[in-house]
Amino acid sequence: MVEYMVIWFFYNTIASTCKRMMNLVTKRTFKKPQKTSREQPQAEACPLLDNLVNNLDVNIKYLKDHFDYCSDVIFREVSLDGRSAYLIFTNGAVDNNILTLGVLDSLFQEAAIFTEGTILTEKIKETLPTGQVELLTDMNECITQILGGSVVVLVDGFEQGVVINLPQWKNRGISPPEVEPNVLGPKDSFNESLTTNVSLIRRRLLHPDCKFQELNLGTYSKTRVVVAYISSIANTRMVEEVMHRLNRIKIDGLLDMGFIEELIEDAPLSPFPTVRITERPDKVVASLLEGRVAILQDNSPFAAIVPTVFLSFFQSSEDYYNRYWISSLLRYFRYLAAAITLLLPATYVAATTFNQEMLPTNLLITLASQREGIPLPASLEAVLMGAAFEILREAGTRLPKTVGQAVSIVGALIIGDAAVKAGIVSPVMVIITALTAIASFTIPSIQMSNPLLFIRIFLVMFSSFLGFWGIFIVLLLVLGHLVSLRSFGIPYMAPIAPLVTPDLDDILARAPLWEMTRRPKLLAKKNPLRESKKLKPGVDK
Amino acid sequence: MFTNFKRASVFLLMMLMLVGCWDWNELNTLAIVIGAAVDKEKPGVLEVTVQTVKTGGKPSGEQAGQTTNFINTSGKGSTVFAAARNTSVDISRRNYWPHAQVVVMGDKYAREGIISAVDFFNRDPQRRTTVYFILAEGPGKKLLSSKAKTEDLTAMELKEYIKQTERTGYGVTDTLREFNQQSESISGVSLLNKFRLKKEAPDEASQGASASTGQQPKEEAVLDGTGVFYNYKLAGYLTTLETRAVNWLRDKIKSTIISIDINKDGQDDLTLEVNKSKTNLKPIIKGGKYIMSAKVEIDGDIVEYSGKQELTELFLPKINKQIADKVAKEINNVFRVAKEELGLDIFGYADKYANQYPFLLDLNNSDWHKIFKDQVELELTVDVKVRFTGKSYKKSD
Repeated sequence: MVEYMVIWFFYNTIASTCKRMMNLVTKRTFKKPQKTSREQPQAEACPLLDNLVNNLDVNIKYLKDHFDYCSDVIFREVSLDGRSAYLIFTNGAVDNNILTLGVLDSLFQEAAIFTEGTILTEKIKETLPTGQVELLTDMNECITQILGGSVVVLVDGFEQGVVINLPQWKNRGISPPEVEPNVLGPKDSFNESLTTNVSLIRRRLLHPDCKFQELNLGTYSKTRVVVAYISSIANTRMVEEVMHRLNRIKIDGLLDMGFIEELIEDAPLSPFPTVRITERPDKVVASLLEGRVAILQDNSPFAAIVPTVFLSFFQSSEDYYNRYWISSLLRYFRYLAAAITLLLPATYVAATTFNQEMLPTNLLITLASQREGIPLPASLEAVLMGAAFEILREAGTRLPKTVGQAVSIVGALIIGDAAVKAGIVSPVMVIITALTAIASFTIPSIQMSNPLLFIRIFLVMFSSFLGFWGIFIVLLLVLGHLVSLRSFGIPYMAPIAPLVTPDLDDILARAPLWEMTRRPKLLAKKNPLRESKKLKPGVDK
Repeated sequence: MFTNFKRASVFLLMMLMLVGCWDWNELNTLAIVIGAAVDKEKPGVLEVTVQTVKTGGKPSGEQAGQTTNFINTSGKGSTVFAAARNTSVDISRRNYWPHAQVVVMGDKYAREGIISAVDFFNRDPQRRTTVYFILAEGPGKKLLSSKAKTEDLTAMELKEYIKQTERTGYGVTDTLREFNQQSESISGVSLLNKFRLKKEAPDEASQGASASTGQQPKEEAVLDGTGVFYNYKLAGYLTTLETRAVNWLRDKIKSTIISIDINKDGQDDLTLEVNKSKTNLKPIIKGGKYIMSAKVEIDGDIVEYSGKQELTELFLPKINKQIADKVAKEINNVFRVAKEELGLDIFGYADKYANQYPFLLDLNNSDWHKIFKDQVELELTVDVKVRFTGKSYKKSD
């Protein structure tokens, strides 16, 4: 309970202030905030027509009413064997090439199938060689299909419409991962198309047990969301829980995976992420094989992986493509780097302003002569330099590439060199800030470096008035908070707390592949063995 | 529920903030004490000199850290603490003691007892018992302002001298902690390194420099044996060679050099570097005699040889014997000095005996020294093994 106090305090202060301000704004502008905000906002109502009727004009009028002012929806009137028909589709969402060559040609040649009294199903199967074809009678389904990239053919005199699924959205190609780049291993990453993303996973898991459950979320966006898992490995109840949490989401639109992450995570107040976001299909597949569940959505190049534990943020997929010796060593460097980025500025402040006796004499003398004539206290110096770096980083991220370079040069020269020469910042503080920043980039996931930044600020604050004692207070609070977290039922600090000894082979080192015979114990009880136990090369000889 | 949370967290934060900053010291408000000296100014008045690092008043930026120097400030008072506090009249910053390396005792003060300085360093946690106490020939203040040759700070240099005695055995490497133990033992005798001042060798360039600045201290410190303290009072001196012999009897030699004259032509021509030395002490009380049987085992390499004879295998026992004789002579001499001239158990044998014969624990210092002077005898054997001659020698045919 205690671990929430500090977080809760700040959160609450900020939240209540925001709420009050929002109230003021809404009262002035809208007078009365809607009371029924809990209910799902409804689209504008139209005269209802549940099913298609056999009169083409009625159908078309209804659809045209619906797609009023929708300039991208195209109604193309054709004549099929003397019978008037309509092709309805969304411009840009349909593969024009196949539409002309595959569909229209066939339709004109085989127009005779549209004679009254025939059974369309069989005929169409014979006639249309391309696309996913089905027959629809439901008008609303028809509307959804038109917007979702299908061509709907309505023919006069039929109560059924032919839906030919030919989606071709404009896509960014599959490019190398930008957020999680690598040297070894596959270099493809997700893009904004769900179909592509699912196929990237399917390409790696050619087994029918790899399931992709689809659902639509978002009142207006109608975003397709896919929950991927391997049914013979993943815990069924975990999948159910994921589906349950996803179905809870009632929102107007989902723009990115970040939305889903924020709406389903276990500890919404915590700075620590309990959902892992990745852009790498190989990472998703590896997680699925461990018994985790992945969530993908249309229009986002990221997939979410649940459940997620704290230490998984220090693992990079390249660890498994590299030889295990170097991977294990690198992992320790990452742990070290995390400790540096978390503790270095606070330790410096504590050691130079409270516990000078803890420094070696020569180091103390060097530090003292460097701090000579610096106008600011060490704690303020640390805070200001840290803030300066974050500002520089933010500026570098948001600016166009060419300008970003200028920013970094100016930042490095002016903040670094000139500030030291002018005697405003001590040189050692520049070193510490730089080391802290570089160490924070060593953590493979940007999701984890953000909470560490937060805690670093707290640590510097506390160490500046309590010294090492303050550092330990904050560290204990954070540790207490961490062990209380869970991600979809899995303790966040597993396998350290609770200690799951067989899983430590992927934490204390990256065990050789032939030694990692078991899946994570907490995740895959159903199917614990991942490989034969005699995989070590040379054993069978 | 959450309002309780809120209240609790506000309370917690307040509580943490309230204690805030009580021992907050920016680095540039501190004067880092690196060494100190205690002198007797006149009866009843002590003078404490404090050496602090001079971090300010230098060109800032890149040159910082290279031209570090020190400031010596003195204060007078009736006690060590009072005098030490009075130094702050002279300096704009707070003295910060935990990094003190050496404390120099003036010989006048040492003769009257250094218990006040020892207590000053033992009682307050701000001062550490890892400090080295030093005895100066003359006032300690002068030693503390002698010229530092390799280090920036005189106190640092003195400390390095003491550390270097590990290679020669000419001094003691005991910190205040060990000094306390020895002083509080049954014998009550302890040793402190003694330094004297030596005029700097005349060097024209530096003379010119010192003439222009006019402030350079001209004398430099030299290690010059040890001072023997009995009940915290200076009781006598030992030379460097005597100190080495004492170290041999206390089993404290790590490395040293022995040179002998193997050709008997008046010029030492063989040097042995001792790599390993072990002294086994066995206290025995037999028929009213306190016999300390000491067995010194020395392992070493020949590092220099200019004699005429080939270093043959047959020749080695002779070398071993001659070195052993030389060491034995040195040790026996210092044992005689301790017994007859000083009359003090400088080897700390009282504790060795008390370990074996607990009834001795009840003795006080003077009782033990009566026994020491009359009854304690040394039974010495020295074993020397030359491990490595440095060059393959000819086998004798």
